[in-house]
Amino acid sequence: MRNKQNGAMLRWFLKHFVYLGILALMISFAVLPLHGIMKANTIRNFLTNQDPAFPLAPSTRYYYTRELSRNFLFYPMNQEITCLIFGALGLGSALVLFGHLFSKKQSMMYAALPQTRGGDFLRRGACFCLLVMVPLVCCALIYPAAISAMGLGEFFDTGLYLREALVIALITLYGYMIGALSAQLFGTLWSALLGGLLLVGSLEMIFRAWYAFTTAYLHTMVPQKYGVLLGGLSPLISLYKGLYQADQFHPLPSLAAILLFGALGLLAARRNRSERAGATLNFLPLETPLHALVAVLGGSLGGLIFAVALEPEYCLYLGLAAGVLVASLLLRMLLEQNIRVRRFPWRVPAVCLAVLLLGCLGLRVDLFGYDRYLPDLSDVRAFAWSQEFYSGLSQNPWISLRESKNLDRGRQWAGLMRDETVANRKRYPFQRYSDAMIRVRWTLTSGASVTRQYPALEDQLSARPFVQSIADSGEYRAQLADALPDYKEIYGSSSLQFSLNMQDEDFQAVYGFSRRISLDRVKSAALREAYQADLSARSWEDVQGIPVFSFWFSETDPETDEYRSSENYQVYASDTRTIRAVLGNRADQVMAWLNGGWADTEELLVFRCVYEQPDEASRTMTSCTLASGPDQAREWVSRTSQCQNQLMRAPVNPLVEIRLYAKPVVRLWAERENREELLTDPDFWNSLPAYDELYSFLTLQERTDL
Amino acid sequence: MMITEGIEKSFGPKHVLHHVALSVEDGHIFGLLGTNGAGKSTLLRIISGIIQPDAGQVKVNGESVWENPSAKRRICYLTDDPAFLHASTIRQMGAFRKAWQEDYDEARLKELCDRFSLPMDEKISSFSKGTQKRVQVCLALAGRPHVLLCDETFDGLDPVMREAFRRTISEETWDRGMVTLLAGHNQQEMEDICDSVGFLHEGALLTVGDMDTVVSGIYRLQFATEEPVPEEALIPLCPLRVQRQGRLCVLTLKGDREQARQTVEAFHPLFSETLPLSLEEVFILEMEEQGYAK
Repeated sequence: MRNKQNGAMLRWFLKHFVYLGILALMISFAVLPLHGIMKANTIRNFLTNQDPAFPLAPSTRYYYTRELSRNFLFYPMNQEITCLIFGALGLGSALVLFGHLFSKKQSMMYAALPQTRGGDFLRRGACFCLLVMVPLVCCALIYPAAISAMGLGEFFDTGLYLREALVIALITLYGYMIGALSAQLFGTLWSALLGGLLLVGSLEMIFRAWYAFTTAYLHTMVPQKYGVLLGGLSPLISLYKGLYQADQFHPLPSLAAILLFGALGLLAARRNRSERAGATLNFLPLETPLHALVAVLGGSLGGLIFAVALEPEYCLYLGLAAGVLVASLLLRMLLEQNIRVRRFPWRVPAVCLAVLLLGCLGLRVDLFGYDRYLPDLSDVRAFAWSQEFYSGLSQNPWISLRESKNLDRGRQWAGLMRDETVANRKRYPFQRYSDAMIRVRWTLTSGASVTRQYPALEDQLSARPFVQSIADSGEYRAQLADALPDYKEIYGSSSLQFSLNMQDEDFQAVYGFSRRISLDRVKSAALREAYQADLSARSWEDVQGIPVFSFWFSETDPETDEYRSSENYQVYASDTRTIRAVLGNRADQVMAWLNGGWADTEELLVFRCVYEQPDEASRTMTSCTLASGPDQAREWVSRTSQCQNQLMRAPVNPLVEIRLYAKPVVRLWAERENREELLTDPDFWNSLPAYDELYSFLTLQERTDL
Repeated sequence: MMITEGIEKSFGPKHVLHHVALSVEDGHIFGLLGTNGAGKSTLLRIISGIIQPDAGQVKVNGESVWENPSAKRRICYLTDDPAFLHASTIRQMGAFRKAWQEDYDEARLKELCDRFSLPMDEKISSFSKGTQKRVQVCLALAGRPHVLLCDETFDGLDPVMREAFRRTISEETWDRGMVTLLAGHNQQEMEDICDSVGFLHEGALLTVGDMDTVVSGIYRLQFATEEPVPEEALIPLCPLRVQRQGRLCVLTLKGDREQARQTVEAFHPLFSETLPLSLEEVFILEMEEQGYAK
């Protein structure tokens, strides 16, 4: 009897809200299979016209599989709009299904019906599933069936497709649960809509703003942690990221949020007070928490906007106050449903503002000693460091050291960096530019891991003894070599490029071999092995010299041959095994050249240029002297550093540059530019740096520590 | 039988109902009279299960009403401002009621609509306010409720329809043993059809009882004497109101009539007689006694 009655009620709902189902079907069909089927047809036509004698390349096959299994979902929309459409579909459906709660008369009419409030909530939820989710699932299933019928099944990755479809379904369901809860908490359509948006993203926005404040004040915090933390906790971010990276989608945060909001919605529905319909807020005890949330959100966003837009620090505090005030005022207008606020409770915004101000001041003075942190040596089990934007060795490896000597030096080095950071404490502008940052990770005896990052020391000389000592230690070298990624199984090819700043054809004409060399798999494997051996033998001083060339290991997909990524490594004169593995018989010739042979030739011109100021954009050359002969040229070059890594680099004088020009290259330039007459002018050869359009093939900077 | 037990209700700081206890027998019509804002509508909403009381409970045939679909199925609440589904017709509203109440009688609805000249397939929103009230009553009666709650339902109806509906509801109440509760301000109407009546003022039920008992509870006693009776002499009678016209004295009294008459006899009146009051007069006097609109 009861089941029969329940069925009758559900049938009535389905009939009453059938338009919602039609809308959901249209949206789902347009976004899910429609465009995909059209595109699949184009691909099928292309494949039909293919000559069967030539099988598809793995990369082409892979491309079509991705296209058919994934991209159709979004094209011509991007992920943000897809996310928005399905989130809005869920939220909007909830507001329509619970629309009666926004009118006192309608609300009471339904409340008088012979049903429980909880039963009504669940019945409307079932109605949503049947009217919105079922069409969505059907549309999602139509597509694989169509692909299969078109004979493209072999190009379809069912797992990938289903994960993407699951993300879309969860976004819709998440939107509905938010809307359903919001409709119970708020008594008007607009307040429910705004409340829904507040439930969707308020905590994320507060978190984002405070992360910005924290990183602006605490200079040693590692910024990337924010994304990881938010992606792991926030259902919104996890769902949004799920659309981009369905392979790595973790449904747990969104499923937990859906269940939580659903349970809260049911609880609120059972306690819903029909007499409050039409008022902004249905549950009066929620007014203070809501006010606090809105005030904190408004203050945080106000502070962030002011701090980003205006430079002076007091603007942040001004923004906090303005944000709290404006948000509280807008909330009062909404609660009173009147633009003229009759009652403004000052206590909540005042407390919120005080908390926000104290929070910012606490960060400013580093109340908890975050930046000042440096563990006792006795508490440290391991010390690891890595450098952001590190080039020359490998991709920012974390080198973990346990030897007591290295721990001691690491701690002293970190202490120097910490002291300089703390001494220079000032608020960074919010649009912070990337500096060379050194990250330090302490593994404590308790098992805890603490990470800090520091800007590279301005006085490199003071850090050098520690870094050099660590870099030259056997423990470090061994790990550095091991840190080289194992490309044996995954590389497709590698290539190298000589460092000299010359056009490819000039390089070929002058040196007799190409500046860019591509290596096959066999040679690449040999190159990796040789480079690993050279890395473990390379010393601090070795990397102060001129890199001979750099090479790239390209990572490709083993199945499809599709390019994934590549890493760049630099090779120095000391890396003899690597040079020999690449150049074979020509290695001796190149080595001789690297060891100063080039300086003996009359075909090379070496200049010592002195500038008025170090700023490259506006500097003026005060003098430029041509080396009197090969000996002076060799002497000048031996006193330079070409190392690009700030940390490893010897201190250099930015006002002095040693520029190297090759006469054959200059002649080629003059011919190309139709300015051969210059070649007969002796003054031209003595003043090559004065010609801006003529680049030196090597520019070195003079060291100050020799 | 419908019983309310110690109903309490507050909206924020405002205490709307104070310990309201009431019982209405099957086949009886109860009139609920009250001042503006006394809490009549709130009480009816609580009885119909729309609003949850802060304390106390409502029982229909021994079953608690709150969140109880089987009890609520037997109750119908007619609001002073009828609510219908957006852009619906009477037929659609009948189908709506039928979905929630299996034994809802659509044939009876058609019969009632024919009797009260209501078109089944026209949009209700296009009807006048009075016609919408007629629709509401027809929709309610077609469900054959056991408890009918009418909140100023007859206001806005023309006298003919008013009378027709009054008769229909009275018949339904007597024939089917329905419990009918009429809330409003029309004392004459209530006096005509209600079996019992209650006065609600500032959330408290002041007077409850049979119509005759309530109406006869307060009366006028008029008498004339040779010499005017001094004020002090009237104090033992505790008159609600004293009017004098020369030697004629009219007292409005509450309580034992015989005792009052004997007290007056001691003044050796030239004549004395007891006059009945209307329900409206009783209600006004009761409210005045409570200090309302003084």
